[in-house]
Amino acid sequence: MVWWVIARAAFRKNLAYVLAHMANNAGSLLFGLIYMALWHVASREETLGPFHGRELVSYIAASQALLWISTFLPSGLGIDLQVRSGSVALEMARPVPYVPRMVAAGIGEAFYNLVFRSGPLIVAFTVMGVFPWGHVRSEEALGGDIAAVLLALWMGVLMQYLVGIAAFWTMESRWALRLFLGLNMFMSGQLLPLQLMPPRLQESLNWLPFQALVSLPASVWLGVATQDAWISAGIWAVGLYVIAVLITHRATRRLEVQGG
Amino acid sequence: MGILSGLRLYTAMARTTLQSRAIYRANFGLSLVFNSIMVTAELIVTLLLVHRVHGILGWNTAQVMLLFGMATTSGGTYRTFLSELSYFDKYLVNGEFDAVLTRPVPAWLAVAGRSVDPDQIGLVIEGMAIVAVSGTILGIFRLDAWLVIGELLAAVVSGTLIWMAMVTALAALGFWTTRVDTLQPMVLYGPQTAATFPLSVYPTDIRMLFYSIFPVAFGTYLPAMVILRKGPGAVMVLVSLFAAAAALALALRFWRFAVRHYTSTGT
Repeated sequence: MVWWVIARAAFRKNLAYVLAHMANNAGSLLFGLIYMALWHVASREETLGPFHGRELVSYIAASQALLWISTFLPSGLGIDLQVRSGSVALEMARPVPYVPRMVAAGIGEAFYNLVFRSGPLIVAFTVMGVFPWGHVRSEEALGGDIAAVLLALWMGVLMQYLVGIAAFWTMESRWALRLFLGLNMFMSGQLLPLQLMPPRLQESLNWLPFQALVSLPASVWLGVATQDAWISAGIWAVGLYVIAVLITHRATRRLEVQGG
Repeated sequence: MGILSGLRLYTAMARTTLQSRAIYRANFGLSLVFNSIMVTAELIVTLLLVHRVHGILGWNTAQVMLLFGMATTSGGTYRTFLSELSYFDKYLVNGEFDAVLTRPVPAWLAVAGRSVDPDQIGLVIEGMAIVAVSGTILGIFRLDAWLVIGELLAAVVSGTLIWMAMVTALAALGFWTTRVDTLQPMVLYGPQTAATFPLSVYPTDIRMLFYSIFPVAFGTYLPAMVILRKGPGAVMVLVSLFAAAAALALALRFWRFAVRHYTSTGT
């Protein structure tokens, strides 16, 4: 199947950089340690929202691992580079639809990150005894855990697609990436769980797509996810794909080749 | 080369860089807006966190906000004037460093001269605004305002020197590792994030890193302690300045050592 071949190629392309990525993982680990230390001191082993004792530290450990499959994907899936070099014309002329092809490649990149970026972090946090394994109590719970991770990965890839496609209008999409990262930092619950935000804000953020990137899977792993969060993520998982297809349709009509 | 003649040379090269960037005015505006969104998002999360737990180890929300503003101002200043060294890989991978070496100026200065990035000035402005707002809430300007402003300026200088030292050392490491970007999260972004919180929250071994290998303590935490009258006397501002200058001198020594070991890629 062509999508599988594309995803596998994207996965394999990254294998040449495993060592460099491992050095990069040390930075992620430091970030994790910083935020875990912060929450360890801040929560003072008390109950905050639905989190008890050290669960907030586990939340941060889960969040750090999840960021690599939902947020730290290649900027705009490389679409802005295709626009600038003019190669996007060739890419769009290929006999495979553009949106699913780029999304398949993005999924391949995300699975690489899952194994070689999130993986080492999960191992380190497990050794430190802070990764939330204790909440995987049954096969049903494991199913939910995996589904939430796959949703985060799918939505992360689609959001990067939307970041990249912005280049059709502005030639480059660094601004869109900054906007995405800024909103994501606040709305995904990566540093501050949404459950600890003021109730009205929390309710609003639950219905935005960002919560599916970190908050939903981390909360599912800790057994504190709400049904609303699942429903919202399900709607956005379909909605974002439809938006991507519609925007791409408009974008192709204003395609300008830059000439390389 | 003396410091003054070095500064004159840097200014001349920086002016040329600015002129070449003047054609991207729209990009400048967009960068200002989106950098501002990033900083605001980070600030909101930080303040919500501290507010939610009613302060961290004796630091209230406004005090952490001051720390955040100081870290943002010095981080923005270094990014405005020396960001090129953060992307030093391209010089090594594409062989551009060969061209740098043929210039009749020290290599570090030649790279630094290309560094002026007006897009980052928004960070400095926003950082200063955060310091002003939090300082007013805390009432630190009420007594001896000029002394506090002097201490804040000294803190920004030491913070900027610390970042310059760290980014110089990171770029120098690139002569052996070729890739600089992969180390950035650990050497730059991690310590930068850590510096926005009181360092006393971290376990001793991690905290020691921020006093030694990544000495961000001298750029924000210690000067902030002085400004907030939380213990160390005003002499700590001078100690921080001295430590920051020493860190940069050490980093420049390491840079010169690394340049002597440079071998061209031939591309």
